[in-house]
Amino acid sequence: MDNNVNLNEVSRISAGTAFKGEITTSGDIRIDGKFEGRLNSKGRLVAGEGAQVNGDVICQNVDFSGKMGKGTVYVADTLALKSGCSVNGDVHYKRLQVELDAKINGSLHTLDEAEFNKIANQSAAVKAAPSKPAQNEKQDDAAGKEN
Amino acid sequence: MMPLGKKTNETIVMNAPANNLNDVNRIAFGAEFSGDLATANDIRIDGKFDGRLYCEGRLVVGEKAVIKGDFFCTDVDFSGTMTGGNIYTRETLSLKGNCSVHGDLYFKRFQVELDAKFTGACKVLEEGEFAKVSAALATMLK
Repeated sequence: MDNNVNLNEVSRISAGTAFKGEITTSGDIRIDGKFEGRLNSKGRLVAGEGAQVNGDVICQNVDFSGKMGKGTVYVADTLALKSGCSVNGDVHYKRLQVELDAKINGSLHTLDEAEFNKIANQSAAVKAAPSKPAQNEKQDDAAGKEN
Repeated sequence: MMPLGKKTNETIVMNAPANNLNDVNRIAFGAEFSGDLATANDIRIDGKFDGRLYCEGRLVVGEKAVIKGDFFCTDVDFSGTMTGGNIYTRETLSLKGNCSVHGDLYFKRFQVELDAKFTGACKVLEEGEFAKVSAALATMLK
């Protein structure tokens, strides 16, 4: 594992910050403030003790120490719920680690790679918004079947 | 009205605590944010941002950054690309060389380097205008 992450490549929502909307990133992200919306990261999400997260999170790895109000989390690899964190919502993961004193109200599901990719792609398609590309894909699929 | 020199000193003192790297918000290269963001600290953008941003500190837009939307900040250092929108700067707006800005700029003080590309309108903020236009976003912090 590469622990020497260049700080400049990590996106950060610091304490004293509120963000509402959508984030897509190929790198890591750290949240210490308030986040509401949808997050799609190909890296690691670290939510600090003061973080408040509401919404859908799709990530490769998650270290969670903050509070999750409501939402759904999909983690392709390891979800680590740290001591003192609080999670209300559904979490989907491949591997789960929970520390003593982590509070969880919600359901836990395991997730295989195919399921994760499907969900990640769906989210990316929603983000791309215009319905045209999706339609084209369907047409392509249909053409493929005919052939 | 306060003497100009004194005002500058106050600004520096105000920004000093935010110099801790952990307090600076960052949109890294490769990251795309769309939506509303409000912060009491500084923010640096090297990725893409589309939406509204309220920043009580300094906004730094890096060379590779591409931004669009409405920005309400105390100070701005701009080296990137803006494809549309407005920037309201309560204090000093600084356009660095090789930046590219399409949009309207509102500020108290304005500085442009040679080779900065700028298409749009400029206007000096009137008393109370900044607070008025940024009020809606500022409430996100409460």
